[in-house]
Amino acid sequence: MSSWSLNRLARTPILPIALTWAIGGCGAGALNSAVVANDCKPGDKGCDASLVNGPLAEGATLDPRISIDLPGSTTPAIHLESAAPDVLFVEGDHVRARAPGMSALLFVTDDGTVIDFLHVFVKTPTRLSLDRIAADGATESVTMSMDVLTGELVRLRATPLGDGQVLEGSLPIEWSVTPASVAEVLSDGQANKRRILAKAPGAAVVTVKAGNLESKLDLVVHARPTGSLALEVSR
Amino acid sequence: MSRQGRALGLLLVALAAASTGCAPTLGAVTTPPPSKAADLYHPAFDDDHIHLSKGATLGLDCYDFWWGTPCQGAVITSDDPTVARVLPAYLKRAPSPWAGAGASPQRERGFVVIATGPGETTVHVRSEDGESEVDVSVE
Repeated sequence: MSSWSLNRLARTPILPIALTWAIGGCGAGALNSAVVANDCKPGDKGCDASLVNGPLAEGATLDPRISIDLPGSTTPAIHLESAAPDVLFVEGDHVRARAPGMSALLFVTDDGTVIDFLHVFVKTPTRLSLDRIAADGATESVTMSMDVLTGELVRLRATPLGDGQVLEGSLPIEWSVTPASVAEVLSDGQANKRRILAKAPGAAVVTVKAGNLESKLDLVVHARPTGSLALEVSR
Repeated sequence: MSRQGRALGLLLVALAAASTGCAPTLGAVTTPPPSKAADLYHPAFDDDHIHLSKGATLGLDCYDFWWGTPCQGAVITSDDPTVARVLPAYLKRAPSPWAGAGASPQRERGFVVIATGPGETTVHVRSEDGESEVDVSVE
């Protein structure tokens, strides 16, 4: 037996064999008390109210929803702290990804006790992916031009990817469409989502920009069939 | 090493451990993030050592060496908070197997060590029973 293992043995609590303790719970935090999820509006099926699992996109903001499980007690007032503010900067309840790297995000009671913490990675995005959001909330990647009818609304979501990996957080994204006479960009409540309204027949280009990244979508707007034509087709 | 040698070694280690009194003993309760360091080492015949990557945090339990009970009135301080910050932490422990069926999990005070910047420093844990020093290096 090596001196190292002897030393470990010597440091093992003797009577209750307390090394059999286990940190219980099922949270995402290192101390198994906290669960951190994206901020989603209730009922928004297109929003991923999933756990924050992936790296944050550099430049993105995360508005986390934190739930903490303390049996027998409500959670005391807590605030967020960052271990490395040059990587992850906390402003109130906003977490900003400043630079690539890693930092612990700590959930600290206002009297200075750490309830839990989560190591968060930050990665530079390399591509903006455009997804179409269906009426039922399902999303699918848009890789080719889209044909739409006048008056049709298309919901789009821009997702930052880093070498193919989906990055978390909300990036400041600029949306535009040209020409404006063919289609119009409508806000959809979140920076990464928009509704595109097809206004008149013609070709248009939807441009999405986030920092140095840009993604484009060709849109072809067709005139909506007239009532007589629709009747003829249905026959 | 012969069987007698091993037995003597065990005895010496046990005596050495006993001679340290009831200074707080630390145990890591969290794992480091992938490809990063957040580890507690127990080198033989030397102070404990914590190795951290910048930005990483390590959760520590503090317990009595002999009984495994949580440290009473333990306080942690860092010589250089620009290298390693320390804060008390609220840990959840499963009940001891000796506590019998139906025992509730306990929540006890532990600590976290937060790697704030590269360098080396020392962390001190003082309890009613004594003091422990832990060397901390942040890369």
